[in-house]
Amino acid sequence: MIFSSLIFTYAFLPLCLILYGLIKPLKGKNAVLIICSLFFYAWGEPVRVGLLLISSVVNYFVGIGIGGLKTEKGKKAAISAGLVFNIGMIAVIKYSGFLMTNVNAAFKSALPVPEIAPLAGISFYTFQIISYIVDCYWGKVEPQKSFFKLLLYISLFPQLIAGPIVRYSTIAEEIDNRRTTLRDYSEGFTRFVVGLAKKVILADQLHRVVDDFLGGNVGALTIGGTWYGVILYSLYIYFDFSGYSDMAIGIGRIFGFHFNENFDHPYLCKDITEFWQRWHISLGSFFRDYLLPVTFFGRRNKYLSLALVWLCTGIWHGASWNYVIWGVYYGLFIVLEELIGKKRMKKIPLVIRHIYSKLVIIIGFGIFYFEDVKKLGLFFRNLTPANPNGWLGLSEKISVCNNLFLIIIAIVCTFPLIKWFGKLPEKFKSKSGGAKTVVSIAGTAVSICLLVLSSILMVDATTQAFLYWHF
Amino acid sequence: MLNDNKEKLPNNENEKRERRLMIANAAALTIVFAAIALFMTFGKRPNVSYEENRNLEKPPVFTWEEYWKGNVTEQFGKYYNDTVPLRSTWKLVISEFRGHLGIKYDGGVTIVGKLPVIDEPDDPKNTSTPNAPDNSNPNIPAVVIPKPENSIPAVVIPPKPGEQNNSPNSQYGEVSGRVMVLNDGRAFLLFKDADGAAEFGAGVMNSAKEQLPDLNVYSLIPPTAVSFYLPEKYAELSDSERAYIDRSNALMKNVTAIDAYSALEAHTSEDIYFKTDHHWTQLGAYYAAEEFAEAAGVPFDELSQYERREIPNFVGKMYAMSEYDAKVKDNPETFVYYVPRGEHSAVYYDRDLQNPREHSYFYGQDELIEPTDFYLTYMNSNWEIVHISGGAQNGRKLMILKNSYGNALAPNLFNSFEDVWVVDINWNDIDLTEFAKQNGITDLLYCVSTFQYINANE
Repeated sequence: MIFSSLIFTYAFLPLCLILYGLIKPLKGKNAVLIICSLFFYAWGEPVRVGLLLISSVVNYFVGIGIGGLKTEKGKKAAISAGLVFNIGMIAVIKYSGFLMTNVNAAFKSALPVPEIAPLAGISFYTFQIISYIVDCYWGKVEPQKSFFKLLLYISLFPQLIAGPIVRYSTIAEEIDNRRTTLRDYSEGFTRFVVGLAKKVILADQLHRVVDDFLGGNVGALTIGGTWYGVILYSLYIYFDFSGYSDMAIGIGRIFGFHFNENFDHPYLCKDITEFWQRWHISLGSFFRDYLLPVTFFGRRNKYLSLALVWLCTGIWHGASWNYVIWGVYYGLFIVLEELIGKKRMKKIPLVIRHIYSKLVIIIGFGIFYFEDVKKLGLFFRNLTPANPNGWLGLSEKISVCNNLFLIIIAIVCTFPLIKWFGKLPEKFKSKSGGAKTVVSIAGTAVSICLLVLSSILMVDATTQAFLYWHF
Repeated sequence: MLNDNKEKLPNNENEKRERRLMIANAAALTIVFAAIALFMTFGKRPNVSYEENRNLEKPPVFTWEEYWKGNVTEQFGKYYNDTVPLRSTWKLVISEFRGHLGIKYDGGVTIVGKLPVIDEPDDPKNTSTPNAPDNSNPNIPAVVIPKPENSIPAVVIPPKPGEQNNSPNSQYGEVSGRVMVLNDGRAFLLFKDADGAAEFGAGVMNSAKEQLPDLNVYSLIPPTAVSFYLPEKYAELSDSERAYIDRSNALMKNVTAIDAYSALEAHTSEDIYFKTDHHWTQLGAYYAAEEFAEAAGVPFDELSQYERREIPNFVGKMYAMSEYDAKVKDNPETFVYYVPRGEHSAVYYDRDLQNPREHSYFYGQDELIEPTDFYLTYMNSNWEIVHISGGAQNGRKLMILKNSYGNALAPNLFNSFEDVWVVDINWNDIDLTEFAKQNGITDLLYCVSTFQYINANE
């Protein structure tokens, strides 16, 4: 079930909210959330719940083992077993087919290639589990003694499928002691609507155009058509993924959970290092906190460590060479910026830094888009004057005209409009609070319009799943 | 659910105001949300979409086996979404919304859809027989590669007898590509040629002639509406179908090429193509058939000898293919078809030539498997083999090996041959060489449109 579907928004979610509201004890509320989450995850593929439950049981005992064992050796054995299990599980399910295909190609062998269907959300919840057991090992959190509470953390449906990667420490306290305040409900609901609108009104409409250009015969695109397609794809992926995160954070708040932010207007970045501090923050911080400190290459060789982190970031996104290239690509720019140094980077004129960062990001998303390496090659060729199809075709002109407002609105919406909007009363220095009232009422009116429009567009939108769904 | 009573009480006017505003926001959103949820739950759900010419999804039948496969929930999700109360209205609103996402180009022309994916001819992994298009991803057409050893195509993975596929293009196989909609609501597929495609089609026909040297083999490649109705200023958007057909015809070996293109070109002021559908009309097919009849040396009825019938308010497949462009929907047309003189019994067979049953070649509106897809008036599907006892007693027996374009062509030839067999090139499960020999076929007519070997799924 995806968030931007009518069945989720107007059948599953209301039912879940009603049940959650009817039951008063927190234990009961937690039980409702677990049942709803498992039902949510089982939708369309019930067997995957089995794997989630197995993983939860194993990691529950890993946590208990880490907490209960007295010796460092014992704790190490427990964490090692946990890591082997989790990484092994994700490796087998997500990467074994890719690995065997490449082994066969490299050695001209005919080893059987496992055909395991992608399992929605496995990368997200496995990383959450890893963060939990590592934090237990490092003593940052107490191992959860209740299996059901750990299961709630792992399976909580708002963030189960496509993140953000929520740390156990973020919600450990709220599992045992939380309440939904009026502010939580109001702001959470609004956040959900904003996320839904980002996804349905912007991302899905952009995707239609992107698909028309990049999804077809990429070899026949003009230079303009190729750039147009990939620029819109960069906008699409931002609204798609950040929209999902907004919805997850919003629903979380309605249930009294406070997840960390996953996006911070990434296209405002001035360099690539900053971009990754603003984009998919929970993934970047996961690698920063759990992989970077592991001294594979010795403490001094931070560049090799960075390269490893970025390789892993790429591979995390999928079992395909383009993701590997994508990770390495970003790794190179991060290392380059490290070598240049922050001070020298700042001396570069702001306009140049913005152009540089946007170019790197846009081309990077082109790499991200094309899983077919042959098409990726055509894409690179078609960005340049080596493109045999010319500079600009009628298709692009017609498409730009037909989608001009959409493109402008999408670009404008990459800026922190809500933050600016919220600060308007301060600018007017209104003492009576009238400006604040006007802004708030206007915000409510806009939210209602967005909700209604999104609901109508969802009649067409449910086939368009979230991009990060399969990661 | 809220525990706001435990919150610190507001101690000044600002906090009170803020609290009131939060209540207003939460209440307003909740009311709207609840209203939509109630509407979704209790509103009357439609079961047919007349605009899209299709039956809507049905609720699943629950069995534990299907549940564990995930089919029950998946189907329920499809049903829930596909049968939204007031669906047609919302579709129209969506179309209007999309129409306002930008400014009009040249008064309002639009283009949607992808450029067809053309695989390289030398890529062995893409090599397949013409009769076995890759249906694994119906939205990604691929050119199929000539294989000299291929004989007459047979086959594919058709639906089981009686099975209905509700996808918008299911009756004819998938047709995809870039769709252009003009200001007057006329919509058509832009043509993208592919190296090897015309050559492949020619190879199939030459191979048939080699295997059946005693048969008269003809190639009639119907162009599509884009050849005649694409305004000159947009010419660069579409490749030339004329060039494609000429390339194919030049490669014919003892196969007679029928110049349907010129025959149609002479009648472009008439309704030879639907404006809202990707097919030609029977009138267009008539002019092509006339050309064929002349080449075959068989009698051919005047148009005045047919009974002209009309069905008003036809909106064809281009509405869905244009992603519900309102211009298409707002310009419905009259579906005109021509019933040939005389009684013509038609026997329908399953794709493997089993289970014969009689039915007129023409279906009534109330019989169509998709309620308002009037092109189904001819045969009602693509996946049956139809045998018509023709009106001519000239010893000539015709097999039309066709894609959906052939459906409207066949009735024009009922009085030209003693027997007419209509067999879909994509949807049959018989050895056509043997079939032709056993049934005394004298003439074999290939009638497959230009998109057949470009969008191999058509």
